[in-house]
Amino acid sequence: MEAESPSGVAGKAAPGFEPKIVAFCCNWCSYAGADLTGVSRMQYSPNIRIIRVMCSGRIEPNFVLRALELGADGVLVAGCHIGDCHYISGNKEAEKQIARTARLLEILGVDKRRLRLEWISASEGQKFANTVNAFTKEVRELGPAGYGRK
Amino acid sequence: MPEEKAQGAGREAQGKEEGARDKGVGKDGGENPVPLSASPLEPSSLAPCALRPAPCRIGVFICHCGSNIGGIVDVPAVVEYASRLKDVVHAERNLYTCADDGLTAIKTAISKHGLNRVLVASCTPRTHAPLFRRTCEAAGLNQYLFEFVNLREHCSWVHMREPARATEKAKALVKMGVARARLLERQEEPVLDIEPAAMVLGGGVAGLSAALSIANQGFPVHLVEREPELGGMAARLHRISPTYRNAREVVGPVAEAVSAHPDIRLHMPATMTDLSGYIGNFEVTLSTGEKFRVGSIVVATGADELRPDGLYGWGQLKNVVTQMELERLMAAGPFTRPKSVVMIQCAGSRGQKVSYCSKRCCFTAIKNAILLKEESPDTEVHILHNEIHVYGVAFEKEYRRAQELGVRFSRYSPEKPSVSEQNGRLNVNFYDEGLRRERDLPADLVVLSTPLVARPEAEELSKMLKVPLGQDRFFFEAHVKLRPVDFATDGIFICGTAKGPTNIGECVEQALGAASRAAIPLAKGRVRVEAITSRVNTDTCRGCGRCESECDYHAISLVPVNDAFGNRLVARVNEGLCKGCGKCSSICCNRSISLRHFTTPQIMAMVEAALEEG
Amino acid sequence: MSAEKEAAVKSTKAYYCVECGKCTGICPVSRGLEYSPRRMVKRALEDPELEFVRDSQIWNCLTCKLCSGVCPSGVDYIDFIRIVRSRAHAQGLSGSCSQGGQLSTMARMMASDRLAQGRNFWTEGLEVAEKGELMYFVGCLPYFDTVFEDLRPDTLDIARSTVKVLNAAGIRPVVSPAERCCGHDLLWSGDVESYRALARQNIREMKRLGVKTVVTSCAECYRTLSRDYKEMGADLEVKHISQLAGELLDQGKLKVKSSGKKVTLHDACRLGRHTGVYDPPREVLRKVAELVEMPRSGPAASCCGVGAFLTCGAHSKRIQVERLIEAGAAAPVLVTECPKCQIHFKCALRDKPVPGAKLPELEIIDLSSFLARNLEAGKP
Repeated sequence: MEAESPSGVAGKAAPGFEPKIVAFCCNWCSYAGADLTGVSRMQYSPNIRIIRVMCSGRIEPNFVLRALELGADGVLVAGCHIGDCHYISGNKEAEKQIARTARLLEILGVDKRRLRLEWISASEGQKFANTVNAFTKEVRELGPAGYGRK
Repeated sequence: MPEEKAQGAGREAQGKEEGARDKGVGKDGGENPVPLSASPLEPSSLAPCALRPAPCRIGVFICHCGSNIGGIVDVPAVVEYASRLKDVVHAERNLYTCADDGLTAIKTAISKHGLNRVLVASCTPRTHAPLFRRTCEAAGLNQYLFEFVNLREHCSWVHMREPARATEKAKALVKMGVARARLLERQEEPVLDIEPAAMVLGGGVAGLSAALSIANQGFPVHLVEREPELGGMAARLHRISPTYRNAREVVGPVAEAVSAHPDIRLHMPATMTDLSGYIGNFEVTLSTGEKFRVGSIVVATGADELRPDGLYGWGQLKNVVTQMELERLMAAGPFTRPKSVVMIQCAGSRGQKVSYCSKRCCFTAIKNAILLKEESPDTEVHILHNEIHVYGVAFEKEYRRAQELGVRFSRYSPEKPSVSEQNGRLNVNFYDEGLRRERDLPADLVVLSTPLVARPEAEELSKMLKVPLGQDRFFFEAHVKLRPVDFATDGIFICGTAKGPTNIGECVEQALGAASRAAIPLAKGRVRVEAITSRVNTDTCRGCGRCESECDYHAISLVPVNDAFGNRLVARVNEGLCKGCGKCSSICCNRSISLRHFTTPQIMAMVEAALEEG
Repeated sequence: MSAEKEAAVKSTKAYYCVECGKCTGICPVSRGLEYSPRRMVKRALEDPELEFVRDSQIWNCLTCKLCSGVCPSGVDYIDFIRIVRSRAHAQGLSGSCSQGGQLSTMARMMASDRLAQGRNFWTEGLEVAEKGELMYFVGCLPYFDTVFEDLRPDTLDIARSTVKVLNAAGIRPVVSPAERCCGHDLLWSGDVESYRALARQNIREMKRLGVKTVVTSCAECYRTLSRDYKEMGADLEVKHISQLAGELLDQGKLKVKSSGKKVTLHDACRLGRHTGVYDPPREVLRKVAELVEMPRSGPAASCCGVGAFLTCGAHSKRIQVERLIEAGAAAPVLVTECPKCQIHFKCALRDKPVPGAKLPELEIIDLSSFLARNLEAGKP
C-alpha cells in the first residue's frame, strides 16, 4: 500500500494506469444515447462498464459507495434531462440522491470528481462519447481511488 | 474472496427467499403469496424445505453479428472465458444469434443442457430483447430468465481501434451479465384488457391516412386536430411533386372520407391537455373538456415551415418569399409573371438556423421552377444550391426535366448568397463555385427554400406522452431502422413530419405503418405488460409512507392491516399503475419494496462483477 | 465437533440451555416475526456443521440482551448470535442493512489505510485539540445527518454539545480527523475482519496521539471501545459522556442549572444491559430536570427496535411505537443516550400515523444536547 496522501486523492497515477469506471444509465435516455454513440461509430475509452437501470431514480447511494469500495476509480450516473424523465421526476430523485452521496464522499475524503452526474438524452450520442472520454481522462489524472485493492 | 463476495448479494437474496418460503403465504393473504424469488425449475424439483435453491445452469450465446462484433472483439476468446465462469454450463458463438439458426441454437441448448438462464451477448436490448425473450418462452424458459449483454453498440462499435481492450471489456460485460443472470427470477406478466379504440393526434395528410386506416380495420378513432379544418400543411400546397396534381384534389377526398366515416369522431379545433394510463388504457382529456379512453395513440402532429426572419431580406424586402408563399401565390391563380426568379436552397437549414437537411426543399424548388417555366417559358429561373438532393427515380427525372426546360442551377459556396435591393429591383449576390467567381443576379422574385422545423407544441406534447424528442426537437422513434413508427413507449406510434421532414408519399407510408402497428393491440383485445413492477415485502414494511408520497403514478398506497405485528399500515402496489421506475426501491429505508427484474442484489452483483479482477 | 461450533455453543454456554423458553417469552422480536431464541440454540446444538446459519432468522436478533436477564442457565445468547453471524458472513451471507447498506459500506471503506476524511467540519467555534490524553470519540455522527437527511436528526448537535460540555469544564478534547468508525455494526453483522481492521487503526491512532482516556456520546461506541477493543489489545480508559459529566459535576468543574422540565430516559442496550451503566445518566439528568421513569427502565428497558442498523422491519416499528407511547405517558421529553436510538425513534415518529394509534407529541433529545442547553453561564 502506498503512502497516504493528504488530499484523499491517492496521488499521481502510475504510468499506464487505466481507471475502472462504472456507469449507471437509465434505459430511456442515456442507455439509448450510448446506443446511438455506437450506431454513429463514435469512439470512446473502453474503461467504462455500463449497468442499465430503468430510471436514474433507481440509483441508490450504496450503488456508488459499493462500487468505490470494490475498486472503482470513478462512477458515472446518467439520466434523462430534467423535465424529460420518462418517469416524470425520477431524475430529480437521482439528483437528490447523488448530491447526498457526493456529500458523503466529501466527508469520507474521496474526491468528489470521482462521481459524476450527467443528463444525456437518447439523441445525444456525441455527448455520451464526450462525457465518457472527459470523465475517463479526469479520473485517470486523479489516479487510483485506492479502495478495494488491498 | 472476490468470487465469494460476488456471491454475497445473491445469497442475501436467497436468504430472504428462504425467509419468505418458511412462512408460506403472506400474512395479509394477498400481497406476497409466492416466495420472493421463485425458482425457474419445475415445481417438482422444488423441495418445500430446501434451503438452497436449485443450481443455476446458464447458457451463453455470443454473437459475431457478421463482422460488426467479430471483426473487433475476439469472440472465440470471449466464449472460452464465458465457459469458465461459475454456473455457465454452455457457451457458444453464432454468426448472427438473431438469425434462424442462432435462435434454433438457443432452443436446442435449453433442452439439451437443461438451461435455466440464457444470456445473449450481441446488440442492444432496446431493439432485440423481445426477439430473444420470445425465443426463450418458446423453448419453455420464462422470458425474465433471459439476460442481454450489449457487445455491439456499447463495445465493438465504440472501440474499433482498440481490439484488445474491446475484447477485455467484452469479457467483463459478459461476466457482469452472468452475475445478474444468476439472480434473475421468473416473472409472470399481468394481462390487461385493451380499450378497442385509438386516438390520432393531427388531421394532416398523415393523421387523416392513419385515422382512415384504423377505422377501416373496424376500430373507433378519435381524431384530434388543433385547427378548425382538416388537411394540414399539404392542403396549403399548390401542386404536388412528382405528379403535379392539385394538392386539394389529393388531400380533399381523404379528408372527406374521414369526415364521413361512421367510426371516426372528429375533435376540431381541439388539443390534448392531459394524458394518463398506459397501453390499452390511455385516459385522454381534450381542451374542449371531453374525456375518453383509447388503447393506442398515433402522433401525427406535423411540422412548421421555418420563418426565415432576418434571412435574405425576408420580411423586409418586397418580393422575397418562401416556397410555401410562392405556392400560395400560384394557387391563387395567374399572377404577373416575373422576368427573373432566383431560388435559394438551404435557406436557414444545414448550419444556418437548423443543422439538418430538410429533404423536401430540392424537389419542391424544382417542381415550382418547372411550373413557372411551363407557364411562362421566358421567365429565367435560377436555383442557387449547395448541392441538389433529389433522391429516387421520380425526383431525379424531374431534375433532368427542369434542366431541359432551362432552369439554371448554380452552386454557391462556401458562403450563403446575399439579397439586396438595387434600383427598385432585387439583386442576389453569391460566389459561383462552378465559375469560381462572384456573381450578381437581378431578380423580380427571390424564393427561399426553407426547412421544415418541429412545432413548438411538440415539447409539451412529448412530456404529456412521455416520449422523447431528438436534438432538432422532432419526435424520436424507438429505432431509426427497425422500429421506425414506434416509440419506445408501448402503445404510442409516430408518423409524418412530426418525426422529421418528409414528403407526402412517405407521410402516407408512415401513417399506414403506424396505423397497422396501433391496431395490433386493439385487434388482440388484451395485452401482456412488462412484469417490471414493484413488490412489497409486507413482513418488513414499516408503513412509513415515503414510497406512497413519492410515487409519481400514485401506484402505491398504504393500507391498514391487523396481523402479528399489530394494527399497522403496509404499502401495496397497484400493478396496473406501476410503471417500473424503481424510485420507491431506492428510497425505501429497509428494502421492503423492490423493483422486480432490477433488484438491489441483481444490480449489486453487476457492480461486483465489473470490479472483480480476472 | 467443529471449531466453529465449539466457539458458538461452548464459549457462550449454549450447552446449558434447559429449553425453558423464557428467552423467547421476553424477546421483543418474537412477538411479531416467527423467531425463537430458544429454537436457534436448539438448532445449533443439533446441527453438527452449523448449517442453520444459512437461515435468514439469525439476522433477526436485536442483540438487545433482554434474554440474558431471564436465562436461568446463563447462556450468553447475543454472543452466540455474534459468532453465528460471523460464521454466516464467512459463507458470503449477510443480513439486510437499513439505508441500502450505505453505512456498512462506508465503514468498510474507512478501513482503508489511505483514508483522509473531511469529518471535522463541525468543530468551528469549539475548543478541540490535535493531541492529548483525553479524546472525544465522535463516531459516525458526521455521516448521520447526510445519510438520514430526510429525518433531519441533527445528530451533529450531539457532537457539538458534547464538546461544549467538556469545554465548559475547561477540557479541550482531542478530536481526530483520522478517527474511523468503531466497527460496532460490522462486528455485529459478522464481518469480524473489517471490524478488526478498523479497531487496529483506531487503536494505533489513539496511541499516536497519546490518548489515555476516551469519552463517547454513543452507547454502541462505548460498548465497542470499552469491551471489544480490550480484546484487540487496547489499553484505554473509556467513559460515556454521562460518566465523565457526572464526575465533573461532582468535582464542581461543571456547573448546570435546572431546566424545570419533566423528562424520561431511554436506556440504550449497549450502555445498560451490555455494560451496566445505568446510574450515571440518571444522576446527571436529575441535576438538570425532573426525571420520571418509564415502567420499563434500567435492566428491563425496552429496545429501540434496531441493533447495528440490521434487519429493521415491521417488528421494529411496533417496538418503537410502543416505546414512544410509553415515554409520552411518562414525560413530554424523551432523553436518549445513544444517537442511534434517537434516529430510530425519530424515524417512527415521523412515519405516516397508523389509524387509531395516536403517537405522543414528544421532544426527543440526546443527553449531551440536553446537558449543553442547561450549562450555567460563565465558567467556574
